Amino acid sequence: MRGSLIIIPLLFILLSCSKQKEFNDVLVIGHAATGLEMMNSVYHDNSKEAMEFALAIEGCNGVELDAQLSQDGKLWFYHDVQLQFQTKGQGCIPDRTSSELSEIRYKSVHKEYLFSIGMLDTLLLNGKHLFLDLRHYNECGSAYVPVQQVISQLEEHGLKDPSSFTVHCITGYKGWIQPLINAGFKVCFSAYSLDEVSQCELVYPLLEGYVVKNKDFTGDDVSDIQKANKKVYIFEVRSPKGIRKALRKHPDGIITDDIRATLIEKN
Amino acid sequence: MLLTLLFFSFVVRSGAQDGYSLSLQAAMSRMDLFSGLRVSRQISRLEPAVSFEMGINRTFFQSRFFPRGSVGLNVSLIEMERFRLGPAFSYSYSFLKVNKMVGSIHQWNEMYGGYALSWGKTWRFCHSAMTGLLNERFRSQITEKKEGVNTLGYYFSFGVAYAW
Repeated sequence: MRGSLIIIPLLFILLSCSKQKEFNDVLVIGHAATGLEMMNSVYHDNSKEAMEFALAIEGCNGVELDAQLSQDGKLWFYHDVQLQFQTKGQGCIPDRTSSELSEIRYKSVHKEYLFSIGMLDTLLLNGKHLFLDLRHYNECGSAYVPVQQVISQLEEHGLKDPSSFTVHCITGYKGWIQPLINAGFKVCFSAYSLDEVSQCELVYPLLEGYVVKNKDFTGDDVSDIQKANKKVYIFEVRSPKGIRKALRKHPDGIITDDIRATLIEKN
Repeated sequence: MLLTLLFFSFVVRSGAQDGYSLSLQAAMSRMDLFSGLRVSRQISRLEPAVSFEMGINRTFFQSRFFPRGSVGLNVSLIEMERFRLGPAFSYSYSFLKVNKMVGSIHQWNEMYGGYALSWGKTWRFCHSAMTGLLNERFRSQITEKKEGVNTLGYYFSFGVAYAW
């Protein structure tokens, strides 16, 4: 009894003193630039201002943006389906033309304008990573988006294998994986289970990796995927506890909603 | 000018008992939840105060020191035996080392206005709600210079004070 009284505190001290894991190689990527619906975000998610702000933070390795095709075939960065949820506009991105979308502002403090691929300042991305979550389905029109139009947009704006930064295309639709790979893009599949990953491994051996939810994959799952030479990027990372949990899985990157908190945990 | 004179005559004529108070408070702001101590002195209807708080999430859950110091002034426009209510103003400064690897420090300057109320005599329940300018400054890794951004900040606090 007396022995255990000494051993337990000693073990506690030894465990407390154990060296913290190194996470220097884990990329910190801003989810929708500076996080979705974050209390401490200065700018609205997916805005040009938010992207510039995120990339200015020392230690931030890149941003993730949600891309949707407009009626006239241009890529616009917007997270939700309906414009009225976040902006003063009405309808959906695929129903609107670029000239209409360029007039729409967010209902935020700074009233940022909607941001399109044509406004992207690639000089800011020097040495950084740009993740584009490509929306494959037009929920307002109940139709699939033509992947070739998306590829043309990416190529037109110099996002196909740029020399100074890295572009990663995220898709949740298996039908888009091969066309994007064939066009020469790095493609990550948005997977929800290890079974889904295993299926993709067989069919799409040239996938760059997977974008997965923090709660859906364990550290062992992440490690198994990495052993197959695939990258793993974890998202839905928000609280300090969640960030710590995600870092301990040692993914290739964390698509975080709180860049500052993630940098604190990482360093 | 007339308004200023009226204001000061109103302030000076208060029958409030002067004294100090020390409060323990918890607050929600845009950058973190804060908790700390506030010392104030009642001079007629004016109550200048200084406070020192710590960001709960950053300091306690992430082991990164996140202090916040403030100076402020409450004016008791409505003053009853136990109840006080009036406008409140504050200036706060806080800083946080976000990236230890490069020594990147983010600094916040906040200038707020709002209302404050208190209930009680020796032991008081205190509350304030304020909003205003929040400026964040940090070294940009793009321009390699210090840059600042302004936005709308807020501060809601609740506390318990002991007055003497």
